[in-house]
Amino acid sequence: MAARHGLRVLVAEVEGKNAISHLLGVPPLTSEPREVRPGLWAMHVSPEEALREYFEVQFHAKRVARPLVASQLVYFVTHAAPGLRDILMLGKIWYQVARKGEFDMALLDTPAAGHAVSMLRSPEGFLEAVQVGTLANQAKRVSDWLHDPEQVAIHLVSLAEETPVKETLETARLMEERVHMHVDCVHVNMLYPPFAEDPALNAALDRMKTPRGLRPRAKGTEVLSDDRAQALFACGEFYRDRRAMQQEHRGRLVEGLGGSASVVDLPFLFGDGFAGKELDLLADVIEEQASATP
Amino acid sequence: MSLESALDGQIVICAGPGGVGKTTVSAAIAMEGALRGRQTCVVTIDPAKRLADALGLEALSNQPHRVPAEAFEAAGLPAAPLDAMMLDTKTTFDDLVHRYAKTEDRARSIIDNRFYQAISGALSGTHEYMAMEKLYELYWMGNYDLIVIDTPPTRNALDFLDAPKRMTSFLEGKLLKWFLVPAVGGGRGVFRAMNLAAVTFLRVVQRVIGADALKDTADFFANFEGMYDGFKERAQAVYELLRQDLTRFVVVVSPTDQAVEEALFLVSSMASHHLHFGGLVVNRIHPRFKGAGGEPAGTPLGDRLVQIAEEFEQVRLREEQSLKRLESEVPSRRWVRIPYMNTDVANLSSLNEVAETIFAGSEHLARD
Repeated sequence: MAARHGLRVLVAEVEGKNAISHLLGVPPLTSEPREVRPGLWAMHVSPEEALREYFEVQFHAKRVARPLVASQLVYFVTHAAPGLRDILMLGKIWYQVARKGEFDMALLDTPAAGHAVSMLRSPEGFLEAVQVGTLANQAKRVSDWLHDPEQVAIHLVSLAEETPVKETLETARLMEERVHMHVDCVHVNMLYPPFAEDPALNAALDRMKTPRGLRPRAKGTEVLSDDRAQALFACGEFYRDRRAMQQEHRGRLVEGLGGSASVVDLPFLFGDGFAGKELDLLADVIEEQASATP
Repeated sequence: MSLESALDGQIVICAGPGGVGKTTVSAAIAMEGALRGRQTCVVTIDPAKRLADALGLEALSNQPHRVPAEAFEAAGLPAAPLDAMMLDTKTTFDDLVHRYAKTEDRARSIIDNRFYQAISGALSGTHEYMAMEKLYELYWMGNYDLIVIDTPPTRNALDFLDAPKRMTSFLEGKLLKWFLVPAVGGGRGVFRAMNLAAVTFLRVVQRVIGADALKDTADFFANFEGMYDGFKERAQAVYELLRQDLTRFVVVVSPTDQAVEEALFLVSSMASHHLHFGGLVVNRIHPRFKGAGGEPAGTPLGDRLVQIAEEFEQVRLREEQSLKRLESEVPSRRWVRIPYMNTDVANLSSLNEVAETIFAGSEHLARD
């Protein structure tokens, strides 16, 4: 959406499964940002790549990156030191965005929420354990950058279902308590649009349950067959129930957030496939709701 | 068709991508087993609150306990020998350390070590490793005719299979010990016996992560010395348990491209590991409203319903499209389809509905 406004935007995927390239219909992403749509750049971040680059940039040490030593080093550093994988990946993003200043905006598509918390906490956690050294200095810079609300904002994406809502609220709490970052916005994805909110329509749907109610007709149209009316009723009831269920979970989410973050509702897309068209549609919705909130 | 063959076994492992309802499916399979009179235990990873409540799982006790007879009664079902538990990774790992540590002091110093605390909760593969560990423990207790185990959502679908091996080779830490143990235990001439590459390496590492973190890591591996064989034997035994005849793997998937992609990978790696495939459960399929679409119905409500029905049909087609790629891998008689339900599973009667779909009433859903 931001790219449509002429900004240079970077989307970074962390240890993902090529979901972004799949979505945009482009070849798998690499650790080097690549323009995938006009103004929209994408890259993939992995700890191994990030570490290799880190050493190249930091120590000008192409020598260290020789295969044998490199593989042992990568193994050790990415597995042994707590949270180091995460710092490396964050550092890579920081380097690309804040240090090099190539982009107006960057979006980080994080792994599952639990991991996102430990990832964003990693610089702080590292600083608690290690106060001096090259990496500590860098962790400090990354941490300061993360905690500058002018620079970094957290958006969570949830579904209106029980477990995702629970996880989202938990994540928002952990971001606040453990990472000391504020969640700005929660997107509720795949919501069924309104349907029988109007009481008259709702009552009409209920009437379809009984055979006497199976007579919706207008001038010049044929009376529906019982089978068709029954199928339509089943369909309407399913939709209504699921929407009610989603609204209930959404309600719990809003209540749990207690106004601390804005909420953006995203519709369930009934179209076939999730190609560029739907992406634009979702961008429209986000834009609309973003401009509606002051 | 149905998942009947999964129940022939003694262990059922439900695997699949995250967010597809694995926990619900695991609980439903366990419930069916219990209702058939088998002493059953289901190990869940992170159940939704309502499901946990339905199973009477209030606390994270990390031990199985009986689903109360009243819960069955409330659902109009006969009480069945169903136990349930919620896996606590950290506690399971601690238990394992206690089991294999030579002395209680050693166990303590491992459990208090910061490096251990970091890996026992967070290292990728730990959850999978501990789920398999728990399975092994329950199996050897010998109290159950059927153990159903839910697997954690993993980035790599077969992590639960590789995790025990990967974790033990990590714990063995040959490479790390070679570098680190002299640094701590060697006393004089710390870097004496090491070659130049190792010294350089250690200096770089120390410069990057700091001396304290390095020491914690070294302490951990020093304390772990001697426990490794026990871990390794157990990991091997777990692996054999997973491959034995009476262990069945059920793959749970939802009809989206991404989930199907992962399920395909899972199915093919199961075949290459010679695991026993127990069936495919496609969960969360949009229902089909046959004959609802077509001509406008002539009233505002009717027209809206026709529109919705056609939108659902679109979704259905999209879902079928996603599932197509699984058809060549898994014969249709091994498929079970579970439609989206219009309520959450909040009690044993809705769980039983899922079980009925999986085991008995599944024929009409299989291929329509």
